[in-house]
Amino acid sequence: MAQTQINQLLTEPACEHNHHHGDKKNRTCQQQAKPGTAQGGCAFDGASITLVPITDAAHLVHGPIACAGNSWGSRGSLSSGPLMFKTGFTTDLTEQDIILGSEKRLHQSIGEIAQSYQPAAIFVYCTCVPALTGDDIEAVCQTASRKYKLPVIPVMAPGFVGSKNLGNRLAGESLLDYVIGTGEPPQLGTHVINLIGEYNIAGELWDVLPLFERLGIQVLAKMTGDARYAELTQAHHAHLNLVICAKALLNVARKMEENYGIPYLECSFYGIQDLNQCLRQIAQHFQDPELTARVEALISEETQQLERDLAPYRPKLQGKRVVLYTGGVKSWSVISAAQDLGIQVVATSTRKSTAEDKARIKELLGEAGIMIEGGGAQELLGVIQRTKADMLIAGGRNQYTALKAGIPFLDINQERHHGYAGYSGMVTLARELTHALHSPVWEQIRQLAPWEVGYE
Amino acid sequence: MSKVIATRKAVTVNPLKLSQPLGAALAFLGIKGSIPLFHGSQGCTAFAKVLLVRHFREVIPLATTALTEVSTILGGEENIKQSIDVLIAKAQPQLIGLCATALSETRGEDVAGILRTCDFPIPVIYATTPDFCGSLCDGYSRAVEAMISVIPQEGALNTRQVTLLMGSDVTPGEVADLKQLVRDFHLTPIAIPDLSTSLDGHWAENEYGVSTGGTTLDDLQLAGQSAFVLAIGESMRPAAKIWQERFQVPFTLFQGATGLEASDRLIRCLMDWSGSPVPNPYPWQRRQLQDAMLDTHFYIGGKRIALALEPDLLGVISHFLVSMGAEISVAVAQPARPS
Ligand code: SF4
Repeated sequence: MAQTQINQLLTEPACEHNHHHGDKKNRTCQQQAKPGTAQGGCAFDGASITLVPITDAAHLVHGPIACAGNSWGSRGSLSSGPLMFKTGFTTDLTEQDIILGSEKRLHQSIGEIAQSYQPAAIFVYCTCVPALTGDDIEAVCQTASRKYKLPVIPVMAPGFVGSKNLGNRLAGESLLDYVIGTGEPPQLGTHVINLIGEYNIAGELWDVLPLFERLGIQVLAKMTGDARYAELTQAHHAHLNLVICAKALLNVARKMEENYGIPYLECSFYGIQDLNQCLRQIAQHFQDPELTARVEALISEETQQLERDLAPYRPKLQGKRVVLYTGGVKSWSVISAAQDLGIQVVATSTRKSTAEDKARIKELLGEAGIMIEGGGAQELLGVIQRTKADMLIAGGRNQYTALKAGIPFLDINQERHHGYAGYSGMVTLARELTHALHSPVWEQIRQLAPWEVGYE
Repeated sequence: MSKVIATRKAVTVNPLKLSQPLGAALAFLGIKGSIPLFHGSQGCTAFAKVLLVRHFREVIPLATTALTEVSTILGGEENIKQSIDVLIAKAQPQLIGLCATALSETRGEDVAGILRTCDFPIPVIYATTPDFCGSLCDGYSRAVEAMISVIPQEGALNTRQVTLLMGSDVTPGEVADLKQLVRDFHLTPIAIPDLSTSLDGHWAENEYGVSTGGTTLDDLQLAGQSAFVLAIGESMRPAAKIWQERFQVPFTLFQGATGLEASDRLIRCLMDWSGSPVPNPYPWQRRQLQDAMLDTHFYIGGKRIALALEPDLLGVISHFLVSMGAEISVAVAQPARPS
């Protein structure tokens, strides 16, 4: 892995993280774990999050068993068709492979997959051990690609180069270098967009795509939720890129602007206000009065419908206090969704947020809002106690921290089972929040045991 | 006739194999107040943690030495020392279980040597568990071997005390049952490791960063005085041998404790050791088992079954199924570790 390339990605100019403030260097993107902690996934993890949702491709993890064995099949992206991406492929390197070099095994593995499964493409993920032993994975992919006549794409994001976030970007680089721009022009409409950074977790993309269809907006490539390989190759024909809730793939948007002249907008599909704003921004971009009219009609229809659907939940959620513990952009996009439901976000994490994110959060939370900068489970529970919060909204790894402390919990990360995007996603969010907050178990588990109650 | 086929394919599809460090972490989690620490890059820990959290539905303490590309090449000594210092300061563990990963072992670091030069206030146990060989079962037993090689202390033999070496396939519920069985014979069990009090799923408030239950360090030291050693699972054999060498106490090893025959042997053994007659509930439970076997042999008998399990568990389950009249048509396992 070329250090220069990594440095470039770490200083992605479109990313606010890298706008230095005075002489204080902002190193949030580098986010490497500190010894003695457990701070989240590696670059390979990030790269998989970004690319594995490509449904008709095979994803081959080149490394010993831990990388693939402990992770395949655990992600929540759904497909409307091909299921190739669900199969976990790995070279499962043994001691012998490592001593003798594993290029041959990689080549054979690619061949076996190409012949037995006929995927649309094969993505090969380089992990730490082959990166350390210096296998020339790019060369193997190139040779195999020629021999088996299918795209074989190296993804050079071994875990030890950095965090998940960096892995997202490195995966984006693979898309830019090997995929985008290699496909035939498809049939194009008048308003054509790509979605970048939307992974169709729990199928939430399907709550959004129909909106675009009704508006007459053609979604060409989805990066990468429910994507087919071919659509990604054609992505350079779009008129506009939407970067959804993810600073992580800004490098893709920016370079597509550079290379193909496609402008981009950053927006969020979570929350009524933000979604409305997103649609209006698109209309404004295209400067098409008819589209603007359609957008306004859709917004008014959807919001009216939504008010009716949310009515039963509102009294149960009104005024509840939640602590939000998640990364980056999601911290503000989810705050705004919660506020749309009458929920008060009393504290949120800002450890992955950019300066711009933080400003936005401050505006949304008001002066009393707490920003949690770092810390683990203990600090988190401290904040929950101090703020007298009713609930924690966070990623799955904090689920049992909350439950052990007797606090209702909602999962918003990529392993979750419900989609919260779009207008209908709001109803799902309201329903799930209501269930979590008002479950009858809370009252029961807080009861004292018979032997804890004094006889009076 | 059974045939053993070693796979010749280059690519592994939908791997059922779990890595050695994961197994070692599991074993260390059976010690109270412990933290497993992976000597590798952050992702190895993150994946293992997510997997364990989801499986057990518990908070799982698990830390990383956070090797980077540079520290891997230059050597991770600083990372090891720093991690251990940080963990001791932050979570006050009783024990830290350091597990090798493929990354640290590919570079071939002398971790044991590094640890010898350090002076930590708590035991730091090192298990050599690279991902590129063996699987969960092997990593687990290596961690047990590493622990019992140093912690249990010699002393006057306690003729009423039994050390239970619990293999990786013994579930928290089974550990609880086996301990109760031993107690019912008026003997004192010390299970190593003891998942029955750490990963059994109990609601414990306000304990973070270390395992909330398991064998206590005191018990682990005391275990050296046991007059009896009962090992469950073939992969516990090396550990039992270490025990025998250290304390000159013979061991009895059962492949498993599942099924009528295995249970009978286990009870017989405890009768001999304790000099007590069989305690109350067991004859009745035996009748229930006999009845269940009769009632279900129609359904299980003649069935052709495919199994894919870690080696120990594969042995136990196929034994049981065959004892019920089933036929094992395919059995998939990781090859045993080279010893
Ligand atoms: S840190 Fe490296 S070895 Fe560990 S899971 Fe990530 S890619 Fe694999």
